[in-house]
Amino acid sequence: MNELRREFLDDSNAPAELSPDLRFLASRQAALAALFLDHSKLYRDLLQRVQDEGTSPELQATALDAAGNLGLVLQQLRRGGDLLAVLVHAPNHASVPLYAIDQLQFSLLMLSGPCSDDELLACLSPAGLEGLFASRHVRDWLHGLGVLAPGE
Amino acid sequence: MSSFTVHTPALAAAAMTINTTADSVSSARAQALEGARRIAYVSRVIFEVMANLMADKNVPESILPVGIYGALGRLAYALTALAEDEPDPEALLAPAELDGLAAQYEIEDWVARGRERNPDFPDQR
Repeated sequence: MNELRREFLDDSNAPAELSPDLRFLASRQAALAALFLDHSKLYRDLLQRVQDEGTSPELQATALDAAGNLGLVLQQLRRGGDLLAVLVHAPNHASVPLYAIDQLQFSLLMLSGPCSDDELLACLSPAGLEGLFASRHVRDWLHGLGVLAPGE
Repeated sequence: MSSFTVHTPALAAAAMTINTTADSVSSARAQALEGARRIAYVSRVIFEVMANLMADKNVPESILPVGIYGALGRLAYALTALAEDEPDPEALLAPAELDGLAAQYEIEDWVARGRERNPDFPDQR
């Protein structure tokens, strides 16, 4: 496991007074928010390179690694579905925008292969990515974690 | 046939072969990546259709339940991990999770209800 992924799985930065379940949720949501912001920039760059120069094995490997990073944290959060369901009803808490972040993971996955014209068409466009960050749900979730969306 | 029915056995097969010879590992990784990318494509197209063409149409849950996105996502994450050099166990689905995915996300119920209303509804078994 690489160093970045080891950090995702480390709950030690979560507030010590929280229960183990809440420490898990806090640390994974923080990791997911950081990945969402970072990998959005990476995705935008990779998409531009594919459109300008075509794909390459190096670019595909980078895209797969990024998709794997997101997939790891998304799998853990979805595995804890009961916990997430409880939080949906918590006051002043925005649920994790899993479906929005899935769109980035799926688009990175499509860049991890040959990138046919149909696949490129189905990838998130830069405007589509901005649209995700402009959505109220995503912004409320990021704000709850003390993070601003790009462009804010 | 949906991606879900195609890739559940593909995931199991890839997971079983991952510990065998170098050639079969390479083949299993390629198969896993192909499966993950196919799910990604289908899911992206469905998302865009729902977001842009059907956003204000109040599509009934019975047409396309939200749970199917979650189940497909979980399969895609696991297949993505299997496509990597060192699959992260935390990203994979345990056999019991895999077996229970369709029930957990109420896909079996959705298929059964669909079949009651429409005999031509695809057979998922």
